[in-house]
Amino acid sequence: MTPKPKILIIDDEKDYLETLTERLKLRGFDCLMALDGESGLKVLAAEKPKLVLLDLKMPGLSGLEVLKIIREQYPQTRVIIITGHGSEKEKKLCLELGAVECFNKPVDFKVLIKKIKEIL
Amino acid sequence: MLKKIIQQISPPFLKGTNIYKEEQELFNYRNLWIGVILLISFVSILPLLILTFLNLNIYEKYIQAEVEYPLVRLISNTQKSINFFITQKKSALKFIVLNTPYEEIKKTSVLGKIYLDLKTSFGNIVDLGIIDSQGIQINYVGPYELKGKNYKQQDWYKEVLIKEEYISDVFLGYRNTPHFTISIKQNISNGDFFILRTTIDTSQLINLLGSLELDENSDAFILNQNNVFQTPSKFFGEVLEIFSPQNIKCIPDSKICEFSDSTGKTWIFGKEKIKGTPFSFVLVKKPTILKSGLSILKKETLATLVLGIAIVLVVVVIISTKLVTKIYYADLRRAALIHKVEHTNKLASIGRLAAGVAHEINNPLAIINETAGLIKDIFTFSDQYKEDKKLLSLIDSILKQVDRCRTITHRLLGFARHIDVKIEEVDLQTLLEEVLSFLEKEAQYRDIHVNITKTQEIPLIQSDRSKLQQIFLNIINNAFAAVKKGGHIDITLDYLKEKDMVKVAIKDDGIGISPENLKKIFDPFFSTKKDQGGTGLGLSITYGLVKKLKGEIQVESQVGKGTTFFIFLPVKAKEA
Repeated sequence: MTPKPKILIIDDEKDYLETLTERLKLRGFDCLMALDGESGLKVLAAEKPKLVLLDLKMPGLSGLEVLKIIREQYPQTRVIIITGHGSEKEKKLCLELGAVECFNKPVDFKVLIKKIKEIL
Repeated sequence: MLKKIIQQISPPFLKGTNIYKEEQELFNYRNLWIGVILLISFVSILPLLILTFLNLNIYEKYIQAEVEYPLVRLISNTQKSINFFITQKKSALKFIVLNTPYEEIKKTSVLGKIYLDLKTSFGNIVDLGIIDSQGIQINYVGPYELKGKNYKQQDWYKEVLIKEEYISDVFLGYRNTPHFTISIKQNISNGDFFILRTTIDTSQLINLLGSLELDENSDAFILNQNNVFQTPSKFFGEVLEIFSPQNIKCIPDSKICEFSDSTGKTWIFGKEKIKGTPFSFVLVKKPTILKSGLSILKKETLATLVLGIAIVLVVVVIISTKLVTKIYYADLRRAALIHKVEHTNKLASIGRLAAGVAHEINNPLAIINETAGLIKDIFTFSDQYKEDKKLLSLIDSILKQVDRCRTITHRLLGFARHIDVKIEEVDLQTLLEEVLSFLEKEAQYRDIHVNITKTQEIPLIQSDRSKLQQIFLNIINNAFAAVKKGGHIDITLDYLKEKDMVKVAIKDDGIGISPENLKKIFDPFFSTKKDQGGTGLGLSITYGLVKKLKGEIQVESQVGKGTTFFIFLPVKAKEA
């Protein structure tokens, strides 16, 4: 049996992080959690997840910076941005930097699942 | 009618609104206007007045000198001639009494010879008499029988005793011809004395005055101390009548006076006493042409002055009005600019605030969303609650409301995020729908039907989204204010290929705008809702924004039928 594809979720909102993780787990995804960019990158190095769900506005490393690092160091890893700070400019920038999709919070869960399934 | 004309010409700042209500003192255009008019009028009229009065004064003095100088000269010279005439007679008599002993002169033959000699020399001697110290005329040569007449009680005799010589006033005497007498007293060695008295005809005096060759408007005569004519006057009376001038006004520091005669005519006259006689010489003249010229000059000068002042006043009023109007409009423009900046700033801050709020709400909303989703997941995945339809519908309700909130916050963010962005591709229909979404509730409450239709495919336009939002929000807001409950607002989009412009027509079936108001609708500070707090800036700002986007805005309206705004926007952004 092939191991389940891993999804790393990086978000500074703990409640959001946990509920989203649990919901994805319920649907059979293997989820990893990180509360900021630095720890997220550590988990990334150790676990090599196939997909990262990334928040943009975080303390420490910002989502954009994390996105750049991921695209440089782990070009195989796909990134979906989920942000509450939905400026068109940022969205455009993220897509240019190589994010697969950019969602605004609160995100429609069905749409999210559909996208995740597409990628994995 | 008159009221309308006055209203037409009265400067705008008098009827306009005061821009700065708090600074009424500082921006009182009426006071500024009046102040400028008064100051400029004063400064320009004062020299005019001074010059005119100086001129008139100098001219008057000059004319007076012109009139007065020859008159005074003539009077003085004539006085001297008359004086010479009388002194000559007096000297001759003195010579006689000094050189003829009393004994000789008592003889009729001697006195007779002297009489004849005098008559030959002077011509106008009437008679000659010797009066002794008792007052009795002891010798007499002349046409009358006066020898032996006693003069002791007569006034002239008493006078001559005191003064040694005496000249009488003119009188008619027995012959009824005017004449006067000269009497000389001569003392004799033993303390006794005698008096030589001669009567002189005044005809020679009259001839003397006649020789002055005066013009027809002048008159010369001699008066005694009691203003009785000693010689006849051409205009004022005969000999021995009384000269009675009225309203005598004398020019200061001058020998010339003015008077009016019994008919009220004004004359000028000069009077000089003849030395050594009881007589005065008087010269009378009608006011000369020079003098009347002065009054004409005065009238003309005054008329010129009045005309000058009137012109100055008119010019000053026009210039001041223009000046203050310019200042007023400059202030208006400045105020409009300040209001506009404030308005834009306000809009920007509202946008930023809305974005902040939306963003802050999005995070908790996301948590609610996921939490509710998780609960639903748990129910769905566990057998215990799988069949509990009620619980599931409750969770769905939460998720539905979260979805609704998301729509709102996304819309807010969408509205606000374009504040800093300049030109971008805009889909006008979407933008209009966005704008309308803000008025959705009001439309529902008031049952207002809003329709967006397009006649053909509308291209995306390159424009400033936030400015477009402001423009349409303002106009649609106005349309909302104009329509009644159940009213209609139709928005039609049209693409004008030849101009490469999109035409947006926003038509309402509201109250409409009257033609006079329609003319001023884009003017800053024009508002029909001032009492309700309208600033009168909304449409002027809208107009400015449309112009900035290189567009056009037009309006058509009929009272009672409704108003249509046409906005033309270029498809391609031109260089601003």
